[in-house]
Amino acid sequence: MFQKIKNIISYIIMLILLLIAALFYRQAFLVMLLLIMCILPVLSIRICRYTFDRLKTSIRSASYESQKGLTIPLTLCLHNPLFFPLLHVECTLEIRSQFYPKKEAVTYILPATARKDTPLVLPVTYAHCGLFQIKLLSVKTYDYLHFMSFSREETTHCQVIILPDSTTEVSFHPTLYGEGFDEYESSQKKGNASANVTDIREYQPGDRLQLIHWKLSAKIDKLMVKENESTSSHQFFVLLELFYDEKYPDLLDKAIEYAYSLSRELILAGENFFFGYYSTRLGEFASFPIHTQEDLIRALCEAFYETPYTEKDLGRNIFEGSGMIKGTLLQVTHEGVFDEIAQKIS
Amino acid sequence: MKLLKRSVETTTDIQNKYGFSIPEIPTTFDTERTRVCLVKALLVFCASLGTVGSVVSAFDLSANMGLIIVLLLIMSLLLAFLHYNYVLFNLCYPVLFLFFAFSIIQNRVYVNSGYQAILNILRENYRDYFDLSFSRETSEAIADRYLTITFALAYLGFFLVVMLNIAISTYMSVLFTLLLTFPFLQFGLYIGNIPSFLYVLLLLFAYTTVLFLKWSGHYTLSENKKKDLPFLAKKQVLSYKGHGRTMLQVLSMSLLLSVFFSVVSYPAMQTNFLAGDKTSRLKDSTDSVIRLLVQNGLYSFWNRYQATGGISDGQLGGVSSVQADYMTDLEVTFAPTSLDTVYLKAYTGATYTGSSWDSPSYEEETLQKALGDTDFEAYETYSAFLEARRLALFKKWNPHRGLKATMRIKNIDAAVGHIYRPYYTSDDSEISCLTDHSLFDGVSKTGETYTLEYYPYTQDYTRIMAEGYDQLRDDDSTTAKEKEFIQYYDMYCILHYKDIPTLTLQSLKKIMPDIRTSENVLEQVSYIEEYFEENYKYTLSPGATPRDADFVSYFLEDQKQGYCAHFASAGTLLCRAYGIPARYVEGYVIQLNNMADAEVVEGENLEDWIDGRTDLKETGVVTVNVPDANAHAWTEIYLDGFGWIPVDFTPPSADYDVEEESGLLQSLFSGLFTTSGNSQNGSSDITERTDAFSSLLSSNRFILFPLLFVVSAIVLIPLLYRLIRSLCDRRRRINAYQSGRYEEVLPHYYHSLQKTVLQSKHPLPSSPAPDELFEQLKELCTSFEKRTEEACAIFHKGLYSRSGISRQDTDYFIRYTQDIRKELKKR
Repeated sequence: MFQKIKNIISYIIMLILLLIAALFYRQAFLVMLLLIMCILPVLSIRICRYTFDRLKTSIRSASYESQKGLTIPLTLCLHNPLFFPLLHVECTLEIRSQFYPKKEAVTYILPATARKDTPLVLPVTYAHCGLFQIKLLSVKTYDYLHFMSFSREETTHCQVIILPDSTTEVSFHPTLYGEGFDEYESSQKKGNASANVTDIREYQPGDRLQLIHWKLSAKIDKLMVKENESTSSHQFFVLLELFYDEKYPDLLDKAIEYAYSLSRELILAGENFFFGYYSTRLGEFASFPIHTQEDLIRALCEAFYETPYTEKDLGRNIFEGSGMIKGTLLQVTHEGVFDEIAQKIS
Repeated sequence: MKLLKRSVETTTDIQNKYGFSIPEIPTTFDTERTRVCLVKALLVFCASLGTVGSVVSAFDLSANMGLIIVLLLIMSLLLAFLHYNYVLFNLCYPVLFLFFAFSIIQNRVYVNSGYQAILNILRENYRDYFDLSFSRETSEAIADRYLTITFALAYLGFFLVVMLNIAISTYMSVLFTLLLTFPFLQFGLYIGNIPSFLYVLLLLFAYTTVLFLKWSGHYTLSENKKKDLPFLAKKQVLSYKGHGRTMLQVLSMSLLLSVFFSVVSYPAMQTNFLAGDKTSRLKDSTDSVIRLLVQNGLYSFWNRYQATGGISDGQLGGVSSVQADYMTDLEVTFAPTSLDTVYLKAYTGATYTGSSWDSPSYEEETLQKALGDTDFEAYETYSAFLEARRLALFKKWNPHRGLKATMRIKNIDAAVGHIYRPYYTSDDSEISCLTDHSLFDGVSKTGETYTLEYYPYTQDYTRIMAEGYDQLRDDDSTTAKEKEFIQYYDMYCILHYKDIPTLTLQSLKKIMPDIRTSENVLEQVSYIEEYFEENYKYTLSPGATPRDADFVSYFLEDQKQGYCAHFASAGTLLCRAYGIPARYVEGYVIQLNNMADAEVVEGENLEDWIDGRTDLKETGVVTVNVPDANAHAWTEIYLDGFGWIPVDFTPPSADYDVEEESGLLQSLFSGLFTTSGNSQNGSSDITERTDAFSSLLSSNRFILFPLLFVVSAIVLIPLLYRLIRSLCDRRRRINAYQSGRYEEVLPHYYHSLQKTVLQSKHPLPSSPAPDELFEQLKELCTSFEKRTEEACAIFHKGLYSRSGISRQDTDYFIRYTQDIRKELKKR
């Protein structure tokens, strides 16, 4: 605002000086200059307004799914189809996650080159897990003389899912909860594995070598893995506590990491289990049967849409009160994994 | 000179403790330093050319504009590109300054002469505008104005380029740009000489662009090249510093706007619709100041030596130039009796001291010894009016030839310590005067009017002497005492008015052999006049005499130029050296042109003003305003038997013949700087068509040549720019590769790859993200799928990995880009 006023005053002073010069010299040439100076602001405003109305914006992330700690290029692009450039376009971006309710807006001032796209690639590093929504909130520009500004709200946005780092280790052994395991699961003897195969899928890093279907793999020249049906009556329920402390935003992130690692351990161990959390949005438990890595990611993505709660062990308390326990409850908090008797097991 | 410092710019990483961070300022945003520098160079060039061209076209200066344009363009590019990085700036600026200083010293004669030529042309134009009869004129060492003006304009242009480069490249300041350029425009505008349309257009274009860029705030270059930060960060706002392509587009837009406005206003510029009311009160008030400036230069505004504006009472030296204010000092009403100059005597100098002329003095004792116990006042009165008495006698004896007249003088602003009197005022005038040392003088207050009776100096005094010498000398009516007075006065003048200081005499003796001699007094005087006219120059700005130097010796031996006081003093002393009694006189002159311009006084009876017959067929009573510029110094020589007669040794102001300096440089450039075809051969073969074309060219040279140049520059500059840019890119790439900065090499190849894909018209956004591009490449060239994946991984690693990439990776990526581009081009 101050800049605008300053520019207007400066321009008026210039006009007055030119007027004095025109009166002094009585030259038509100076009178014409004076007229030009009077018309110039109008032209400047009209041209910029016209261009701004036709200015298009876009925002896209190079990848829609990534891991925590990695850098993903985010491209903000201004598309100006007209012949007039805009020198000063303020793009206000907001990157936010449902988990972290506080928003931070960043403003980038860019040129909108005429008849061309002006891209700005921002190498964004996501430090926490979650679903990040990147939204272009508004676009604002000024005319060439900075007398007037034009702005509009924008709806352009994109989102990035940031998964936890897979390197976090959880020393969990499902065999410790062995009662009720069937014969196959307890013995794992060579030769009898084919009996309960329910599916054959492509090899994923982390799969046990014993599960590779060597014959089939040799035939189709691609590593294939057998998936066995769990005949155990025992069920694990991985309960992710979406507890959030504003002072320590890392706590939630830690809990997700533990839950992710634990779930991966279970998948690798061939366990079919449920992954769940208490949804404050729905007011009930959300649970997802997990068989594969994809199931796990899908479940996590759903969790990322939730709003975390500030009451400690809320999920566990509600879960215990609901009487839903049929297997082993594995409560995952930032402190680690706890079983149904609240014993820390990792 | 401003030194660019490596600025420590704080990168404000946009950090958010709630989940994300942008660790570095975006690296993909290219400021396009080359383009930014180019834009600034063009602006500097347009502003400087517009300024120089405006002066040239407004005053129709004859100069080689093509050469000036080329030089300005080179200089603008050079200086603007010094800002490319701080090392270049700090190293090359002093070198350029030294080069500039050296070259200007080397060519100082040409530059100075050109500068003087421009000033003289400007003064001529202003003199015509103000309808002045006289203006200052400076000497030009070299006669070829085309050559010297080209030199002077080129250096003026260089100076402007340097200053404008600071104003535009560093600050993008509208104010400084205006302050540097607009004053030059005013030279022409003030007197209604409108500069050429094209140069005004260039200036308008430069002003508009600078205004747009300045107020947008995006025109700077990041100074730290290694860690090029194209953004300025303030809290959570990141603002780009400058962007070459956009600046170029703004430049083009401003050019279009300026052309549009100029074309629209062109008819108005050609036909001045304000012609009916040309002057303004404001301008009228400044006219007198400008007129003074034109006539007397800047010195006229300070250090005004009062004596130079009128009577100096014999003070010499210490005056570098005459600075008259052209205001009326005396208002003289009289009836002209001849076409000769009328001298109004005020001060008489008898004794030369080396720096002044002192008024006559003698000891009473000496007088007493000579004349005995007598009435000294009677002697002084008699001797003071001696000439008038003799002319009165002449008139008495020759009633049809003698002439007596009346003159009324009003002191407007002349020095009050004198009575201004014509030759020869009679003692029957009704004025209160003093007679002292055989002179008469008095006091005339400002605004006081007095009337004098005088015997005009219209007759040929030699004739009078020849006819009436003896009668005048042996006047029967004079008493014995008066005869004694005359005798003594003759003796006194002959003895006393021949004194010359020894030092001055030595100087006089040096030049006396060059002056013809004659026994006849008047012939000798004419020989001295002739000598002065041939060997000395009249100027109002001769420069001051050094403090310890003898005024006349310095004038005669070193200065060789001066104004009336120089000639009168030297003439007086030379006359004395030849044995002619002479004295120095100051006063005012009324010249023929003053009389011609004078206001005729209606209702006056001519007989009341003139008693006798004049040489003029028709005359009338006129009132002449005598300005201080008419203050003058001359010499009186004493003719035995008649008295003092005025002699004016000051030569008329004539154009100084400038010496042509022939040198190697001139011979080299003689062909280049020749304005018109002076060749002696083939002139008869020139056809009418050629004549028409030549006349068209010459009449429009202020528009055509620059236009031609600008058009060719518009065509050539982009080509040149692309060539230089590709060469620079290549050099930078090689440097980065050789110094192991492989991550800087990748973007070059990536961009070329991107360009090739975009040219292949495949459905891609104009600025695809790397992943999108590689995906597209995978689809386009399936045979390159694996290599594309690897190349993509290397590119990502190069961009984002902290450990960087290896040489092998780089080589792989380079080979990949080359192969895939070949493949794409094949298709």
